[in-house]
Amino acid sequence: MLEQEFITELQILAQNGAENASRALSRFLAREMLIKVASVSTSKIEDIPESLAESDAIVAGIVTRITGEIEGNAALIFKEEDSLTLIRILGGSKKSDLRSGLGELERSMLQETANITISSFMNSIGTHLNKRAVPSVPVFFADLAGAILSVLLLETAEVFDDAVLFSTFFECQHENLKGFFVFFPSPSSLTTLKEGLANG
Amino acid sequence: MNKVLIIDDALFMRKLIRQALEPFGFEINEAENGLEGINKFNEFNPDVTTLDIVMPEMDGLEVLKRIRDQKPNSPVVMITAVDQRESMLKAMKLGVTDFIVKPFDEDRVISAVEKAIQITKEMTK
Amino acid sequence: MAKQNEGKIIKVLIGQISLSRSPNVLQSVLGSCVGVCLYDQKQKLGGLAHILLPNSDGRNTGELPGKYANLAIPVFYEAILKHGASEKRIRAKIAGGAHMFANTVGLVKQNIGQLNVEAVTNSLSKLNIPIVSTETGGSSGRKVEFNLTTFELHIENFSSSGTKII
Repeated sequence: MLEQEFITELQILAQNGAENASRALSRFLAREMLIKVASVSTSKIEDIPESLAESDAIVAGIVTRITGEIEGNAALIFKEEDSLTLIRILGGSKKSDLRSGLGELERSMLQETANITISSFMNSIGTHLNKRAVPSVPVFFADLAGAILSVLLLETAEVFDDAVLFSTFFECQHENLKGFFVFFPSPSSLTTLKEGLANG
Repeated sequence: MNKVLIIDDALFMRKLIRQALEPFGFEINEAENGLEGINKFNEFNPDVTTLDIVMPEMDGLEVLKRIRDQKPNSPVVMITAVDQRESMLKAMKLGVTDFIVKPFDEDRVISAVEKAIQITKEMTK
Repeated sequence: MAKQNEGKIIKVLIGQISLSRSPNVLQSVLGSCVGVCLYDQKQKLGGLAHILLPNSDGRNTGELPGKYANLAIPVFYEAILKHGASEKRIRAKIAGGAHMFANTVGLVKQNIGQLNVEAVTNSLSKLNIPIVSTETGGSSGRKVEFNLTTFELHIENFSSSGTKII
């Protein structure tokens, strides 16, 4: 779907975005969140969910629509135990569990974490390309990883059998906290990404 | 006692701002959406309002506009994420007093609120 | 869910159609996707299609025969017949089709889950395939396992505890 040169340039964007997001996330959590992997790739849609997480893992997914000149779907995703670690770090209830539902404060903590991470990532991409990419208010969902990811890639799947996917895996070793961020640009935004790179 | 109104749809952000300000003796009131914010602004008559820029339904810019229509000099500190430059420009045109960019620490909240009160006092002298 | 003696658990990914026999188990995780089981109990033969979208609208399926409901069901039907199923004995079970992210601004344009269920139901009825049981809708994901020994479809719905068998 995409030529190698374009992918290489996108890779630089992905790395910058991930660094920006990890800095913001580290400040927000007052703990160092390191980037384990920051990548952009073109993958077959059927392989994407399993490449990111076990499909049947229970996760907290905070999802948002990106609007502007660059559009798409983005999410910050934590496995259940990691989401509970995050809630504990931010001072939320230790009795939380995803299946029976989180309290408003705990949901708000996850949504704010996602807001900060996704905004920083998209801001970096938007600044580099001189294009607008604005996240809407992120919304928290608890569900199976495969279910959440399959819906995020629906928009791309309507047009292609492959999807371009930005992904960043974060880790805070001290707290044993892991999570990942994904961004699926809309098919129509791939052209915008290309233009932005050509003019950049 | 100086009064602060926190307008933010995110409970956690309201909590963080409240936690930062309470030890300094501010009287705090909260609103969780724009409309409630405007009503509370009129009832509570705050010395400073902290206002989230991104909220569903009525966003922070609209709230700021309405506050400015009523009280052109009332200090408003906008809470924004890094990517909101366009909205920040609009807020500046509407006469916002200051910005706090997320993620922020507690000191930043205090200094922004205190500075906003001071500037307004000097302006109205 | 119960592990099969000797049987393999075969993952059926988005857009795939898998056919197998006892003692194997076919597994999918579904959000707005629909899992369609077709089977011939006498032949101990069955399959699972993991359908993503309701209608191809003239596009071809590419490498994913199960991507669109309207194209997937006829392909699936032909395949199971070719493997020895009898037209008269083929039955269907359906699960999935949740309305995911219902309240998220701009992310989901329509209730794809419901459209998927409708498209699958229509395609099955065109081929006169009886639908034995369904477990669809709602707003949460499901893990489904189709047991090719018992022809039970085991469903774990994220929003309810325990396993439902249809």
